[in-house]
Amino acid sequence: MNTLVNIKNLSVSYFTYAGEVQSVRGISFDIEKGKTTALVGESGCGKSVTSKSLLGLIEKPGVIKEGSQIFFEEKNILEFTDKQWFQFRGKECSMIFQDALVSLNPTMKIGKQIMENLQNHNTDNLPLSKIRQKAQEMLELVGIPDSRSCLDKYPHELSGGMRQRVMIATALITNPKLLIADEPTTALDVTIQAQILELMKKLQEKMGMAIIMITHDLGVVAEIADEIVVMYAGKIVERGSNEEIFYNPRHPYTWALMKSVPRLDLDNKEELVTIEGTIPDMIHPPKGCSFCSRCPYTMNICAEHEPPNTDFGDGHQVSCWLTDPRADISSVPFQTGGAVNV
Amino acid sequence: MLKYCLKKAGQVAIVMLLISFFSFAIIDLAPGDISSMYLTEDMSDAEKQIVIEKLGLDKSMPEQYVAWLQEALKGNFGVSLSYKTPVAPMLTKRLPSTILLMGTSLLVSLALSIPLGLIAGYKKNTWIDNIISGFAYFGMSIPSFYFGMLMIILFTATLHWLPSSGMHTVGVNTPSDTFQHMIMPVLTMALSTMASKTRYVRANTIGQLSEEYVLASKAKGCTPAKILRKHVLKNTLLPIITILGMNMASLVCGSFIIESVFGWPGVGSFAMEAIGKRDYPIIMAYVMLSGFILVAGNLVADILYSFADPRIKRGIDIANGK
Repeated sequence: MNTLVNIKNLSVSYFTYAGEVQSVRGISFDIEKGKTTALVGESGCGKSVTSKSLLGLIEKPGVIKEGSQIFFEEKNILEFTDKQWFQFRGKECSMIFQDALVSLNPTMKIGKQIMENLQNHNTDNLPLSKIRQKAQEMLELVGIPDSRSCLDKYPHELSGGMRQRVMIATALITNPKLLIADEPTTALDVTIQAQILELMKKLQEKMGMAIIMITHDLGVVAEIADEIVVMYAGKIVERGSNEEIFYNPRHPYTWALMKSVPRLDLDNKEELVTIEGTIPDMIHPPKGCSFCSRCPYTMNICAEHEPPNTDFGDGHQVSCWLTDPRADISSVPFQTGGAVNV
Repeated sequence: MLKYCLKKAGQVAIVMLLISFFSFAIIDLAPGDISSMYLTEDMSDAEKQIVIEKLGLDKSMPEQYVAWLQEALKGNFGVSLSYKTPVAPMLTKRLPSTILLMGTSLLVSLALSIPLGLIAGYKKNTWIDNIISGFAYFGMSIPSFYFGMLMIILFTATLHWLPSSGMHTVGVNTPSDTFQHMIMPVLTMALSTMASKTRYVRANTIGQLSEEYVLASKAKGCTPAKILRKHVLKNTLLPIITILGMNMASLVCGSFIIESVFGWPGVGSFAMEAIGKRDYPIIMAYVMLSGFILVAGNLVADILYSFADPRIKRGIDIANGK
């Protein structure tokens, strides 16, 4: 397998006055080279924290707990020194953010901000003029029309979509192996969203980087993801290929998520599903399955024991008690149990 | 941009006119009579009348004001009552020494407060921050006349290292001698002004560090030093420019307290003396000077804003229909 990143048992906690907030609770998954992995889940499920851990950007009071491992090309990046981090960030792995306006320094020219990334990792000792030229090329590549004059503009002089393009140009100028996109299209309107996603797909084909797409927008996920990781309350509840998750969800949370999105190809009279309740208190996470308080198919065991991780082949993994052969699944509208049901 | 500057300059003129009128009125309303300083018991009534007419005190306040304003616009601020010489040259003669003292202390306070504020903000709530902030509170709390006297007691009276007063040793006129005389007043002045600036820079640094663009530049592999220097510094400068604009007046007008404590022959101690003697032409000239520099300083600060923050320049251009 062509694994780029291998996350093993990652746990991140924030130590606040109220107590230890367990944002991420022992998650493991792989990211393959050149593929797009989508992290999906509602606010507070730990998807942004996971991505920040990949760049070593967890700040106090946040702590990555003992036993967590993240292997990037076989190196455990959690053991990096500060110096190694500075070389890693932006070079091996870049990140783009939700709101490009606040993610760009308002008092610095666009060109300078793009060049800065390459200047920080200028291992080939390129002269400044070359770096500037490269920045202009990147702006052309992300589809900014007047790239030369754009270098000397300030962020507020660009539109929202343009700014996100600038962010992408900045992130990719060093040719990173991994691009983390933290809700890159949430702040944009729908037509621009589609353009940005199209651009990211195009650039991925061209430059071959892997992408981690963090989002709660399932439309975005369907468009771009190869692999989907569904997170809930700091844990992975289900993961699998795009098709598997969309057409064959096996976890009640994933199923409800899919049913909560209006779809054109389904009968319009079907009512959209809403997920009642809120996510559990992460200071005192529930003992059993964290979704059990909101799950319509909950059983006695769900509140007592954590469900095991069941593999259905092809990397489709679900952690839910409904997949157990002993569970009563007569009223469950989606497929649960072993691969035999196919 | 030019239109903006002209508009601002017009506002400055109006403000100056108001300042002059109100300060003239306040002086006129002040208890006591100027003429009493120039009249003696053994003068005859006719002689007294001549003195009063010569001082222009027989006219009403508005008449006096208009007469003063006409001359002031020509650059003539009248004749000092106590020195009997024209006021304007006496003030300008003292300007260089005040600018030297205040300019140096301004530079010292900036050179200290910006890096200290940045470090304190970056190391928020650590022992480094506590030391710097404690130092800033100390500087803010201690009255500068008291601190100045403590310095004189330590460095002049006890250690005999530095001269206590004046700008030169009598008969000596070398830069190093002036430098020695400057050390204590500059430090005293700088301590009190840097304290508030440090707090401003610190608060701003903390605010800026929580901005998303700082996270984005971390994700680009910038080291903390680079983030502070290249990204945060410029964004924290805005409030400092405001303070600088307000400090501009003291740059020229000096400080009553520091100049008096250290016997510095500047504008501040001169004005202090004039107040003691009720020398109104000097006081009026001083008020006009400090008022003008204060207003002009704010104007300069407004213009500097647009350089520090391109968004403001853009706003100005749009307002002017560009």
